[in-house]
Order: sequence, then C-alpha cells, then structure tokens
Amino acid sequence: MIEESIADTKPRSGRDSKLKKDLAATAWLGVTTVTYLVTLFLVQDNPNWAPLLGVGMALLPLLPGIMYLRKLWGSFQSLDEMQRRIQLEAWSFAMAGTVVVTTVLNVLNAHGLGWEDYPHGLEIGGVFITMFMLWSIGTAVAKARYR
Amino acid sequence: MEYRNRSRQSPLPVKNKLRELRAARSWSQSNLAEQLSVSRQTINAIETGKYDPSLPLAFKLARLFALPIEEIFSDVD
Repeated sequence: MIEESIADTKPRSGRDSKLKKDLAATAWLGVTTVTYLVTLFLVQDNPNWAPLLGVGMALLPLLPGIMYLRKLWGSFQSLDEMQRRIQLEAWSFAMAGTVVVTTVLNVLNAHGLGWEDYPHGLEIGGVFITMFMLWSIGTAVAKARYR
Repeated sequence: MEYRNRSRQSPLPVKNKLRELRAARSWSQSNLAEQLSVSRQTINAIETGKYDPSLPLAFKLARLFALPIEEIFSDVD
C-alpha cells in the first residue's frame, strides 16, 4: 500500500517518526472508508430523507478524507527527490488514466453501449478505486524504471 | 553556435564514480543514504545511472567526498 511504499524509501534516521505518520494516515483512511460505507447504506436505505440531509450524509466521508489527504501530503513532503519524481509520475498516470476510463464509460453510456452495472458511468467510489488502482500500477512501473 | 533541437534528442547520459568512491570508504549504500538524507533506493539508482541527482544533491555529494562535482560526475559525449 502507499504507506508501506513510502516507509520503505525513507532514510533510516527518520523512519520511526515516519512510521507513526504512516500509521496515522492509514487510520484516517480506515475511518474514511468506514464512514463512506456507512453513509452509502444509510442514504440508499432512506430515499425519503430531506435533500439537505441526504447531501450532508453523502458528503460526510469528505471530512475524514481531508484528514487522510493532509497526512498523505505530509508523507510526500518528507520523500526524497527521486521518490517525489516517482510519485509525480504515478499520480500523473493515475489522473490521466482515470480521465480516459471515465470518459470512455460516459461516452459508451451516452450511446447505449455502456456497462449494465454502471448505467451512470463510474460513480464517486468507482472513480477513487480506479484512480487508486492506476496509481498502484504507475508507482510500480516508475519504481521499476529506477531499479 | 549550432542549433540543436533538444526535443528530438535523448538526454545527455551522465556517468558517475559514486560506487567506487563509496567502496573506497567501505560505506554501504544505506550508510551513504543516511548521510545525505535520501533513501537507499536513490543511491542505488544514481550508482546504476538510472537517476541523475539534482544540483543540490550533487553538491552534497561533492562536499561529502571532498571532491569537485566534475570528479564525481561526467557526461559521456
């Protein structure tokens, strides 16, 4: 996972404090995921909620998500120059790839040729999963180039 | 001066003597990485020519080995 890959590439002197930061980031990722799943089921099971309440519940995972991103940013700041370049390449690949995947799905859906399970294209969870998978692939490819 | 279309040329390859310098001092890659506050993977990538360090890192290396940058890094042309 991202926290493991970051911990492996740290100078030994900073590794212990970095490990604590990585664990904190992982904890916030866990909170974000749990919050997202809980609110997803709550919103789906309560279609009669007032719109404002439904929107509020749907956006609730953003709060722990922002905390996770803050911890992640802190981890990136402490990477050395080569590791930062690897992450830049990986994130660029992930973003470009996600744009391509979502665009293709949306165009196919618009012409009635889409995937039945995703009649509205990739929803927000699908976008994040796609981005994360592509980031993992991008990181592996970028790391292999420098080995 | 002859104009060169850099966008069509591959980057100038850079050689370095990092491995020899490190071995002469019996330092491991991890030792050297710790002294420079970089990861061991970065040291390995520099030694194998897969990664060219930034100027600040190159200066750090030069100061550490007490050598001019040109004696550690050279272009192959």
